[in-house]
Amino acid sequence: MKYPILLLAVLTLACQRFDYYGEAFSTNQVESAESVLAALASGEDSVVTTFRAEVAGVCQKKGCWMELDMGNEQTALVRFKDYGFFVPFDAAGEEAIVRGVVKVETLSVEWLKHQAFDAGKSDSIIALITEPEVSISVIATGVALPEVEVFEEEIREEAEEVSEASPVEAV
Amino acid sequence: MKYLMMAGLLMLSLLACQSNESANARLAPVSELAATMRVMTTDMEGLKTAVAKGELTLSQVDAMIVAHASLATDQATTPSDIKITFPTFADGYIKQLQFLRDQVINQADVKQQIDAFNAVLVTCVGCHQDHCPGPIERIEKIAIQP
Repeated sequence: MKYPILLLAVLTLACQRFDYYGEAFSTNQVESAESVLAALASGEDSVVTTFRAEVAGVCQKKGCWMELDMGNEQTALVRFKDYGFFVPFDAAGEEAIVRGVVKVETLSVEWLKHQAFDAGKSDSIIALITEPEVSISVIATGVALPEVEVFEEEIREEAEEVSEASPVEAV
Repeated sequence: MKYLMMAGLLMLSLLACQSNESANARLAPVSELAATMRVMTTDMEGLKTAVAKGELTLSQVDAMIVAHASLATDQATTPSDIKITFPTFADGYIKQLQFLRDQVINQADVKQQIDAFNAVLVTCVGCHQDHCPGPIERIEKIAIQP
């Protein structure tokens, strides 16, 4: 009897639950951010991979891009294939597993300004962006974040409270 | 019996690994404008093949004009981010759709219909260059190449 219990314990520990954004994917083989950086440093133009890294920031307008801390003082900009999905605003600090194509890309001044605007940076900070920037760029087909328990009843009650606090006239 | 129990426990563990439905609950709500733009994208992507073959129908264009008419007045995700140029782009989009409609009515040749279809997309790209460049790549993919 002890073997099934042991098996269950091992499987339970090995099994982390995720919320998927975009396409779901296998998390059985996940690379580290360091190994992705090493592959790019070895001269590969792009790497199709599944890797994990901490979320450093998220677009605060819609969640339409995020930044990952790749270690070694490097970040990666993650955008979502065909603008097909978004991630939660509050994902910063969580460990993400990302499936997609990683490459080194020159980000235009226009994009960098827009990104700074989306991130809530002030006009004076945005005005300082005048040069393109070489960055690690990811086009993700899917993102997995640790599952967060969401209770529908709580969401409904919160929505009702907000609605009562600021009633909106029906149109 | 022991193996049966192990198989059962394995199944239970694997089932526990499946994702739940909470992902959507964490996402930002979709604004009226974003919802309309998603419909616009789906409609334009859906009609691309018909336009390329010269098989676009009047009813298809009319359905788009009706479905996308609220573009200029929809509530944006962040209304303060809407620039003074937006109404011009929104108006230009609808006018280009009406021009595409004219091409269909006049039974213009396929190239003219394709040009009119692509001109609709140009208004979308122009607006997104001014407001939010995120979707530009996807919009450009809808354009029919000569």
